[in-house]
Amino acid sequence: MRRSPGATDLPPSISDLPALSDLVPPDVWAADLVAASEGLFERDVRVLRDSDGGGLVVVGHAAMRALAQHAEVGATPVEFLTGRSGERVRRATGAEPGGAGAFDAFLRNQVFTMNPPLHAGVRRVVGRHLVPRAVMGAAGRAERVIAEVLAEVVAAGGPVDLARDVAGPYVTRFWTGQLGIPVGTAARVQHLMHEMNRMFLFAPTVDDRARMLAATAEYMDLVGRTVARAWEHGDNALLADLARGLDGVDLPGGPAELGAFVAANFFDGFHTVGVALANAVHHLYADPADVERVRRDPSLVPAAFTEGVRLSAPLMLTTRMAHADVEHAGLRIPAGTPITMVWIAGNRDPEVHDDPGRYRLDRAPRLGTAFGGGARICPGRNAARMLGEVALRALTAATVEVHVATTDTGWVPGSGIRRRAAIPVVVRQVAAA
Amino acid sequence: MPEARFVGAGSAETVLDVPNGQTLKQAAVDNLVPGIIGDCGGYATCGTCHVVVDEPFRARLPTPSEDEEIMLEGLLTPVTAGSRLACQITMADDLDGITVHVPESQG
Repeated sequence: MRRSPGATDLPPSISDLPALSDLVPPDVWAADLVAASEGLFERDVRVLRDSDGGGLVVVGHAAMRALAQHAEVGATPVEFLTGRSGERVRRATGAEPGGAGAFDAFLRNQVFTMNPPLHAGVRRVVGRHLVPRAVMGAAGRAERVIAEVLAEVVAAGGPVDLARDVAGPYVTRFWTGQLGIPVGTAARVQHLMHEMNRMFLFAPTVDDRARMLAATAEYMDLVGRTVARAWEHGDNALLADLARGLDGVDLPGGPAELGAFVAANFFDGFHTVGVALANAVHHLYADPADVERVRRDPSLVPAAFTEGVRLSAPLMLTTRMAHADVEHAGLRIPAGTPITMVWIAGNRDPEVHDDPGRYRLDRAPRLGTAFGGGARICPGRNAARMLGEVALRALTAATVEVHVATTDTGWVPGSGIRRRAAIPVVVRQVAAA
Repeated sequence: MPEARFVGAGSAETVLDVPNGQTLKQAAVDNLVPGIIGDCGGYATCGTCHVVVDEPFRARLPTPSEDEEIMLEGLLTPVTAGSRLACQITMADDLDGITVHVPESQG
């Protein structure tokens, strides 16, 4: 049995852990993971039993990091994810969900669902393009795209939704441009990703599932085809290198073709980064004094982004799985146990972060969990950071004024994605002081 | 127990006893050495434990893996001849006294 480092302060068996449903009613958990996790911290509970299926739920930062780094705690198989997706429909509606269709193909091409020996090889294919030096090489393009998007919303004049009209088009146009996808396709891709977001609902209806599957099928086809066409054209170095890399990964179960591989793995770059940026802007603009500090001192932009995604990472939780018997802090975790990592809770654990619910630009960088952790840490985190910081610099520039109409729209409940229902803003061009 | 010396911004030093078999990254994270984060937990895929190893210890380290090379080449901080990821340096008797510098930008 492999042990992860840490104090032996947990009971020996999962059945001896407190059950999540005994401490937090399921509807409360689904409605607000942040508030529910804060309630668990107040009771000094950080590792729980998922009363529904015998798995673990981890909200504590130290346990989360230790388990994420454990060599035997890996990705959940695609069958587990598609099965759970169907089960959620069954529970919420009593209806039979039908086949997983394109959702299955989407998941099978994602590096997040792969385990060794496939994981490292496929991850390397994407990861070498997402190291800091590589992503900073694309910062100039990001600056041009955000300037273009801001010019459009300034020209529009009236209130726009920050996520839908600024952050979404910005990250989608950036990545579609990088991947050789025609400009005219970006808006459709953005719409499809919005529909695909239904995959994160905790209690989807039959209609939610049908729309998610339809959007996933169209997305995989549209992005897959346009990427394949751009690659065949022969003038996109990124696609050529990704294709070469995939050729080198000659293992069963790996991605079969470049288009599907790009579509599945860059979904997070397209969509999740836009949500991260919107959340970071929401938190920064909650206090005009913080905005003014960043406007006066742009060196605070990285802190503004980091603090925003610490409080509101877009992907709040993911499930991993023990692939062998594992021991953590005295707790025996049998092979096959699903482990739900509530990443957003790890970033608010008072054992690690002082006054964790407060937005502080002067917070010392600590071990964040906004992008997960361990060998499966989000490979796109450097790109997300670059895109977020470029946009925040543009939004807080002396020549731009952003007025947030209301911060009272609330977080969307019942989803694993943390996003505001709307962030209405008016963006104006002003003369530099 | 072998010792490792971490030199950070302003020449601040942290000297740690590191058991054989433990990585310098783990020792640094456990002891809150500034500038060593180790987000990926030791898989050479995040670059947040970059250090510059002093002589004569460089030659005693194993050759970097492909993942470590990709990560080092991709860092924004200047990479020098002694650049390594602390998660890939496993303490052993012949590394007793090893000195590593934490780049200022990480502090």
